[in-house]
Amino acid sequence: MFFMGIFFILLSKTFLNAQFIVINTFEVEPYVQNKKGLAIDIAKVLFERANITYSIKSSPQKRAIIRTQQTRNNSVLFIQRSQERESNFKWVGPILITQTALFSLEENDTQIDVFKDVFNYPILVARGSADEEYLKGFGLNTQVANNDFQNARKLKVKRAKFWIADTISASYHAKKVDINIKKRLTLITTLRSLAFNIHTSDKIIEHLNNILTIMYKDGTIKKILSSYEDKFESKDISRFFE
Amino acid sequence: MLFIRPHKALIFYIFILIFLFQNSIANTDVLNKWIEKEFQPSTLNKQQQLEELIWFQKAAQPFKGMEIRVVSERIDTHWYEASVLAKAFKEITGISIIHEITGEDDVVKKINVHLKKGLNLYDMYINDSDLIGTHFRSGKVVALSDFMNKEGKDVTLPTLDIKDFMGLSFVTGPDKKIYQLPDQQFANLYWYRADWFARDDLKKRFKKIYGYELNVPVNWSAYEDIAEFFTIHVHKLDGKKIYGHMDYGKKDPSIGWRFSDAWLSMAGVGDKGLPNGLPVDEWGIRVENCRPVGASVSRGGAANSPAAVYALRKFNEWLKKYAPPEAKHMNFSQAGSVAAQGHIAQQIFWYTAFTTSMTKKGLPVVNKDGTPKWKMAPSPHGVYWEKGMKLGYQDAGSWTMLKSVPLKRRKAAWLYAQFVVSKTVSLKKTIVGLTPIRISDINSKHMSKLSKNLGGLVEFYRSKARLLWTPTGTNVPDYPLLSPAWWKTVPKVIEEGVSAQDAMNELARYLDERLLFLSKGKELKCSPLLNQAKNPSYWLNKKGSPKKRILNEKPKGITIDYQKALEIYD
Repeated sequence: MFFMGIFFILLSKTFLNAQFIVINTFEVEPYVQNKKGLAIDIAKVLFERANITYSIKSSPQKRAIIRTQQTRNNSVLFIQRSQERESNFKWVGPILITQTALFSLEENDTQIDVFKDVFNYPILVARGSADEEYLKGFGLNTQVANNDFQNARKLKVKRAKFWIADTISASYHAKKVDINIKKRLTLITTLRSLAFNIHTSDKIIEHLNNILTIMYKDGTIKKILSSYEDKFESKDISRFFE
Repeated sequence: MLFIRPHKALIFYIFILIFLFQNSIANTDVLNKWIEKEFQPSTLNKQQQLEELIWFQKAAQPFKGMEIRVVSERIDTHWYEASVLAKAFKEITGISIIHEITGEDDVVKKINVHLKKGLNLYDMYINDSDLIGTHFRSGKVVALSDFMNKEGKDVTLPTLDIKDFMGLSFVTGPDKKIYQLPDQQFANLYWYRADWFARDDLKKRFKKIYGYELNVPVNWSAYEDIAEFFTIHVHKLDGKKIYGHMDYGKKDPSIGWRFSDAWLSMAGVGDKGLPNGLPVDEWGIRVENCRPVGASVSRGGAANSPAAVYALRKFNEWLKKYAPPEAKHMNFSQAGSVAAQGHIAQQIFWYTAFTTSMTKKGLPVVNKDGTPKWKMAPSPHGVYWEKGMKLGYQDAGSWTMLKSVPLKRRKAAWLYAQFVVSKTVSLKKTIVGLTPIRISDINSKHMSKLSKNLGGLVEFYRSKARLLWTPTGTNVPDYPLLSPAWWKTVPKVIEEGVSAQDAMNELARYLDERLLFLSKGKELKCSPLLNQAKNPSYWLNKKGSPKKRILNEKPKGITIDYQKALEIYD
């Protein structure tokens, strides 16, 4: 019986080692940038602990998602596990939990208690982002720029009073353009996941999800997050671990 | 203070009293502003409202300045809470509320991550009571009935009046403890074009073909006849193509909700018992001594029983024969607005949460005076259904508190939870979102006045029929783990031509495998313990569910006047 057990463990390890997964990524500063960044760091530890070999491939977002949908042994890093996407992939997550918030310059003293309070103001948001989609649902008056770096610059020159962005991304870009911003309101918390091609073995998915749970519980994710302290403010996210 | 001379001390005390008086006046001003401006009508008089709000103000003192995070699904009721009531709560108590709005699917994923990964994402959740079986077993959810009597006693509203909540049985575990507090409720009912059903030419034609009156269908045979009548025989009305049925069939989590919510209960799959059948519920899961013992017929469950197969076969047949051709490629959100376009005669499964959007002026289904051309009525039942069984679904989004959240944060969140269901605000909230939770609200004069514009919503909630519409119950031990079974198997019949029997066999296997997995968890209360598989005939020959096949699955159709449709369940 003992030898049978050893045999099956070895067999399962061999099976996982034999797997090779392509991690498709797309640029989302500061989470993924030139195959580096916070999300990449988490994924690397996850795959290494799971004993699964991998390679990282960078491409535009749509291409990364479509390639994963169409190609076996492919995954796409850092997408929202939405109801519309649920049946198209198998899921490992959340790799990270992010928050979208409303920001203004530090000196802005407009009274904001609830989201509805800003409905009459034009709001900066990044083109093609999940945030833009979310705001569209409320029929808001948005000013769309190509990315959040441009939005930070627009806020600096007061082209608009408010900016809606991911909290880590906002902090990162605000530092880059040297402005002091103030978080006015958290709007939505998002579970970001690693989506796999639908034909991926359930064993791999279960194994990776188990390792990920351990990484949350043993403080690994928190440690990786805190290694970026000098680059951006992450206290909103760190709070989940308290 | 000893060093202050007497007359100076007197001046000092007078100053303090003036300050406190002014402060209390200022606060009362805020309360009165909200009472006058927003919280009308109410079942309380203004003095009672003021007293309730003063209680909130005082109870919130230790939590002033805190920021509390909660999450709920995206329906009108919650949007009203997030944009109006959260603001009022902050002004009244000084506690800021981040009330996030997202899809229910996302709420379930978030509470699951909170429970399984141990991350404190929110201070409280408004989570459907379908998870009651998960919550009472997990040991990680606070029993609110305990909380209200113990550590949360000082922050529990004396006028909460827990017995006034209609959905209390939905949120109570087998241990009789209340685990969640209902925040909003809506049911799935039968929806039909009352104006078309009243037309003499159509009534005569229907009777000539089917031999009975065109009216509210009581059984699935009548629903099927009416569907055929409008799609095939009437075909066009006023020059426009019309359909006798509407539903959706795309492979998506929302097709799972259609089935797990109520479809099998309407067919009559489970046992008698309210809010859910016992020992076999509408998921087909058998429970013995609070422990799930199997979903497949061979283990005493009913997920692949003749009644379950009949349910799925009818669903597929009606979708393909009588619904608009595009319906089978739609999901819940896409299909939701179709009936409002004016070419659907009836819909067996329609959520009352759509009442507001279906009564907007200018819609083809609304008269010029604002009254609806349609009505809602109790849903027809399948051939396996018997009196004493549930007959439909009720969504009861309910406040849920997790043990891992620090006590101080739980207390502050509990104040907000009670505020948005308090009698001060609940009638107004009911009028805005049409998702009533309190008996006192639904029985109020204001709801009587509104009823003619609401297509039967008030009448349904005032009748005993509402007791037959219930959420998923306690037989389901882990909702997030088990619910994907439905959307992964059911669409195979619609999209891939798999037989209904094969699809339900796969579903039963999926459920049994996961029940087996859960049976290995040590920390679970009332954990599953699978029965040994036996020849299905052993179970099918016993009384109750799983039920033997009924040879004539299409008996004569029965219809009834709208007025009597509610009374038959009294």
